Amino acid sequence: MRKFAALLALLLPLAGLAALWGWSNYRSRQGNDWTVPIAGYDPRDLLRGHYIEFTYDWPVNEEISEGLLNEFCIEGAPPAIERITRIEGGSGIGAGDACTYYARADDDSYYRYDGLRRGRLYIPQTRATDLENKLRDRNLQGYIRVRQREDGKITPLEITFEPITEEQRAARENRETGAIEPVTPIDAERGE
Amino acid sequence: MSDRKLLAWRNAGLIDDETVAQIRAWEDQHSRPLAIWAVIGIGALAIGLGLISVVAANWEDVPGTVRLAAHLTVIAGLGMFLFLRGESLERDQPWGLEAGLFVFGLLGMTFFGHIGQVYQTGSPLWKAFAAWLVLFAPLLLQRGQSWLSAALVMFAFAYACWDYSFSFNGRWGQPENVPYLLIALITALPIWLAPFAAWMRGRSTRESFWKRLEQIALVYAVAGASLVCIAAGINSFDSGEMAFGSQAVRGGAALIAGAGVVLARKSRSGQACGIVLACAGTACFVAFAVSGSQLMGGVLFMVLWIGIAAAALYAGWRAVFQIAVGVIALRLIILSFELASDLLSSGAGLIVAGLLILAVAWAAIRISREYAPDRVEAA
Repeated sequence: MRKFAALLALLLPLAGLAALWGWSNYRSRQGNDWTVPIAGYDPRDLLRGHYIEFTYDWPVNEEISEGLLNEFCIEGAPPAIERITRIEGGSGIGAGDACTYYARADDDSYYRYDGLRRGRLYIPQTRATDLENKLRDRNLQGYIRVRQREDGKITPLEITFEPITEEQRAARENRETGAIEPVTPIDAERGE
Repeated sequence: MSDRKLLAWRNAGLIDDETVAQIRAWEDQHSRPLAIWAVIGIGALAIGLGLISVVAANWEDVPGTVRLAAHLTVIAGLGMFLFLRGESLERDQPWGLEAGLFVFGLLGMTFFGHIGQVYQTGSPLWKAFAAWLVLFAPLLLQRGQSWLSAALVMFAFAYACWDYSFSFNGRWGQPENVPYLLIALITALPIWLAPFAAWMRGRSTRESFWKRLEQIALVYAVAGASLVCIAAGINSFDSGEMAFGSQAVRGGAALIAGAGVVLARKSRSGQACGIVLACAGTACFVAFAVSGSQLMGGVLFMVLWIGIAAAALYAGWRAVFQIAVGVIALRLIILSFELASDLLSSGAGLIVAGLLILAVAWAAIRISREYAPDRVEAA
């Protein structure tokens, strides 16, 4: 009896960890992949390992204000986002029925209610310098491939770069005109 | 073996020449070839570090699935070892089993983080710790030998409770919507490990494990009550997490835990443990009444620790009594500076302050020497 209990107590953690792994693996395969342009970053979070931190640059239309991005519908065909739109009269989980591709800020995630505005991606240390340089390069535009699950959860998967288009450059210059360019934490740290 | 000591003892007439010769002969026979062991140890360490750094350098190139599989295999291997050799280890080298269990638990904790890295998922830490508790606490409670396992369980439990409580900030947005009573109850939960451990103590062959768990829970309660007393000296408890409701929940939880320990363990030590928990609980109630007064906060803190010292006297806990006297002395010194903040600003004040510190320290040492219970000879 004692032997049986001992075996059970040892099998429980193993079975539990294996199940957790299997579940994470299964959930990670669900959903649609989208490519989202990004702006701004903070590549290191000492407390939780090596992460690259970024701000999503969703193609926002007028009816949705950038200050409050709790949930929205993504329109387009994966992976190309046409635009994001507000959910009519909806709020909270379940409102996703109103749209084909639903996205919401996950309250349990690292950024909580800010999870659709900001995100972070775990990156290998060996790629950190390269990615940092590319993010600084004003001729490149960064993109994050995210997976959007049925229930609206957004998980960043991968970061890529492409040469910036004239349209994007114009939009950026338009944004920066008359405004002081924000100092990112890494710039402040290096005294640049 | 120090030759110098041996000669000193002979010269002092403690041992004679013959004994010196016998000791030397015995030492020669039983001495371990330290140098060789040191070289072997350094070699093994170098190989181990080399392996770790080779794996670490190529870690990112290894696919996530392979990494997780390797991690789980190591856990399973250690689990198998614990299952096959656990009982003989428990008999012959309980510390070996304890270390094995501890490493097993830590490997399990890191597996949660590892999954997060591979699948880019992030969930609040309390969820990971709660899941870990469900999976690993049965094993640790069933096989744990001493304070290492006990501390691991307590750490995970307390961390999960606190992280869960902190998660209410921001989620509810407005402070008035935060369920403070629930938070007070959740952060008080670890105290109830004390009566549970006290109850198990009489029903288990692993008395040392349950004793440690009970002690750690007691430390948690006393630390919490001390913080409440300190806070009472700073601010008036009129809202939020320090309001009367929250203090009543905290104090009530500690009083219930104290009663539980007294019922579960009918001995002087069990009663003293109950007294300490009752003091901690009562302090929360009183803290609400006196909060906002610097003097009363300090006095309450000292009264709490006088209660602990009394319990230690009653049960014959020498070290606890001495710690309590030390804490009271320290608080008294701090209180004198709080009340007369100009003591440090003049020469005469400095002299007075110095004399005061010396007097308090002298009194504390005298008291803890004179009145401390006798040392219990270890069996």
